Amino acid sequence: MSAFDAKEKVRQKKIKARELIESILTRRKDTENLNSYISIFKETALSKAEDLDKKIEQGEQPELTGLALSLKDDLCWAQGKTTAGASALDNYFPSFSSAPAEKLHKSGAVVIGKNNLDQWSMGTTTRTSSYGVTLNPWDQSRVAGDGAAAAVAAGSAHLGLGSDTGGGVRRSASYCGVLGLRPTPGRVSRHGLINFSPSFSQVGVLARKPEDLSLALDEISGVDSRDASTSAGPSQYIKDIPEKGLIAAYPREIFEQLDQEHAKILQETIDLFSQTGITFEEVELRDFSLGVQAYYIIASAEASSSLSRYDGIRFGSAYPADELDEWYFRTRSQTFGVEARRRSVMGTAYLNEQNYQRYYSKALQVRSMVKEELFKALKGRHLLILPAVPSVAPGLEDQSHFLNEYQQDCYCSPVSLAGLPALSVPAGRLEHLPLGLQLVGIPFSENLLIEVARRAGIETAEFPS
Amino acid sequence: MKYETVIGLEVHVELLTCSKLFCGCPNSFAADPNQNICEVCLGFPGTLPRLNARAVELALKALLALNCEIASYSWFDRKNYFYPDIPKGYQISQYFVPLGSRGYLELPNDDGEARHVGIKQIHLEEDAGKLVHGPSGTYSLVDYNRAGVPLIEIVSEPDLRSPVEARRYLEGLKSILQYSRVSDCKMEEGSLRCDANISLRRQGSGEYGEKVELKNMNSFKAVEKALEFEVQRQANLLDTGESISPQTRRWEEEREETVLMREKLESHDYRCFPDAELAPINVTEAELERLRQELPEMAASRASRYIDEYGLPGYDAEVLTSSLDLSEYFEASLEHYFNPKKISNWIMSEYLMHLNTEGKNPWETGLTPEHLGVLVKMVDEEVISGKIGKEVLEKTLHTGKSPEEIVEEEGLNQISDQEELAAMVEKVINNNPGPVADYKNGKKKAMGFLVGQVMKETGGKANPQVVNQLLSEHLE
Repeated sequence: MSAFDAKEKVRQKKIKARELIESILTRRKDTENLNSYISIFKETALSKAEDLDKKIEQGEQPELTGLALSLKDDLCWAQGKTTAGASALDNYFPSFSSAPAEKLHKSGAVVIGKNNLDQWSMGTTTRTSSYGVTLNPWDQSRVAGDGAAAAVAAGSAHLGLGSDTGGGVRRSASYCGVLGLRPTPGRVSRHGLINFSPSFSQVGVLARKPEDLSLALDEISGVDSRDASTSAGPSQYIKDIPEKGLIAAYPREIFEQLDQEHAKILQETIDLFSQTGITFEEVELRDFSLGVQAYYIIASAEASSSLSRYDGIRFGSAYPADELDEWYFRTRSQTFGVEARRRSVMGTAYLNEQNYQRYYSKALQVRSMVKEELFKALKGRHLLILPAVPSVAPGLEDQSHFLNEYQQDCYCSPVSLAGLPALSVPAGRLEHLPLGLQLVGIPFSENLLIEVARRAGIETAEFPS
Repeated sequence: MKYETVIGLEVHVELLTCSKLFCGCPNSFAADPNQNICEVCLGFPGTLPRLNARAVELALKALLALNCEIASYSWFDRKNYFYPDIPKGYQISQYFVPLGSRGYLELPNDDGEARHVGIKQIHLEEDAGKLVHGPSGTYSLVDYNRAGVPLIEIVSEPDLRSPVEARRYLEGLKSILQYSRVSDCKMEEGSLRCDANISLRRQGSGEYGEKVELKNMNSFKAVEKALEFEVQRQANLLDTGESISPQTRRWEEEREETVLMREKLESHDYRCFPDAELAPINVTEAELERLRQELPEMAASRASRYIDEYGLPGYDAEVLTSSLDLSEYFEASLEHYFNPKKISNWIMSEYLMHLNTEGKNPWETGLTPEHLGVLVKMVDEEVISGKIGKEVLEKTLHTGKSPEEIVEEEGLNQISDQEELAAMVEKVINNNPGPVADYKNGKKKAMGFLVGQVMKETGGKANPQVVNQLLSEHLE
């Protein structure tokens, strides 16, 4: 059931919130082997559902009544531990909650648990998580990207909040066949998000239907004094979307990079969009392919700094030593997984005096180039379409070089560099494995992207068995 | 001296905000350890810094008062290094574009000429916490009360030419920052901290010598002494043909000498980059204009006005402008009785003593500027004697009652009435034949005793001049 359908049923008293949440918890139990959750809040979820039922009896109708929300575990939630997938935070019980999660909660959504993710959200598969790998609901020999997408796909949550730095929400949505929205920076507060790269990290939404995204986005958008980057948009969020005459930029060469089968499947969805009246115009993207490298340089540089606080003095298990440097070395070697160590070391190297110009400053230049190029492609057009990922979800046992893994973000991360909103929509399957198509818009045009997907009738219809 | 001394100072000043730079925790001194802390200033995962607009205002005021060029667009950078007193593993500072640059401070010189000391840059940053070490390295504790307190770092050009000049620069800086109400600049509480860079070069040489950084000076006097020591040390080395190695040295107050902390092999690489968790700082001309209006006339300008316009001695002008509060109090008193020298005398002799013992500022006692003006006027017009005046001042201080009221209530009006006093004088002469005889025999000192007796009879209210005159008349 989609989030929209779920809350409508509760509001129309076709089903009690408690029954709905119980069924979600049962589904979670049945799909336990996916390992999509790190924490479950069974008791508080059920008691909140009961409260909601009482309110409905008394004639109140909270907007999101009774829909089951799960949070990627880098979003703080004051009810339990927030690990960010890292054992260093296994005993971290924040006293505050993620701002968008809090807003959904206040509107009647029921937070049922926290989803698995890569350690500090650094990785593309959850293989770096201290809590094991999350399996893909459509093929348990494959990865899911993250637990939030897996939960929404498997039906153990109606709606998921995730984080998207270089593609987290969009990549996982593509692997799991659901919709994943990365909003424009500033639209959704990041208060309560454990981010490793403030230049790029955003809170995103995972859902089964375009309507679910609208529902969530309306609630979570807005200025928050606790996050200086939030804004109300240039004037207001784009709401008026013309019925006809939408134009999409289509970078042919990018699609031609894909495997033929992959490209063919995406083409079918593009055709669906054409049938709704969207005109596609070819554009050329030259600098775009440099984006992923620039992204990883900047994101790693920022990660090397953001992870500095995990030094065993306040967070994480300490591995004391007589000398301070030795203390740091031992603690961080022991508590950081391979990807966290890699990004700390690489990021430190990129920022070193002798490398700064060659790597970090260069990456900033590429960032401006990619941004300029994408804005140009969107000039006079309503959206840009891109593949979400270069391949279907990798197998659990696939051993690939980390640079190949980074390539999984080759279509998502340049969009992060440019600061544009993007929506990954399910676009068919390669055999049984979902693939996503990315709709990219100008800043604060999320509603347009969602509406385009709605008109094309895109949704996640079925559940994996 | 065959060497020229070249000194540059790096001064950290805590801003007088109510709360910290990026969170709502109180910015206060001497709280119990780890009381002024929250998730944000401890860098809890999931928190974001939120800029305290007041801190930016105060920093801008300092920039205006120190004649800086102000960046209309600047931002915060992360300065990365590991140490337990910084909760995030980086300090939020301004590395690439400081809020202010190319300012200057005017110093009075011995020859009376004003001298410009260049200020290279001033930037805004957060303070670190404090480590408290257990005995002989057994353990260390961290107090994060100070972590996140707003600071400005003021970096001077290497324009200072002597330890004395360095001290004057610090005094000038302190005065301006206190007048602007940017900082209380209490070195003993760490709200002003100073590191010094010093090098020597042969007179006339255009190049700078190798510089040494001095740390751990806890007063302006200590800065001066440490620099003096260092001038001697470096001169001795150079005299014997040795070279100066770039070092960081520590001032040992007890031993009155600087000792080696570490050789400066290479500068530390802080791997700075912009902090995207904070919005950039945009400064508008309108905001600057508003802040400019809020700045008071500074001490130097007031002091010369007191000398030139009010005819006060230099010493009075210096004391009266030692704080903005005192200077404003002085000027407010003049509005009630315009006699600058008399008002100055009363403030400097009577009032300041009281303020110093009580540790109060001039506006915090019962004696308002109006009270002081009225009081001094009453003494001047001989309504009360100077002695009674001091008593009235004391009472007004504690009660807040006006001097007129106290004089009225306690009948303290000075007796100048000749007839009334003449009776007293006669009585005293009759009762004290001994001293009277002494006086007549040429012991003029006896007069003092007799005046004292009359004063005693009148409870101090007698006009001493009239009494003197009457006694003389009677005894001649």
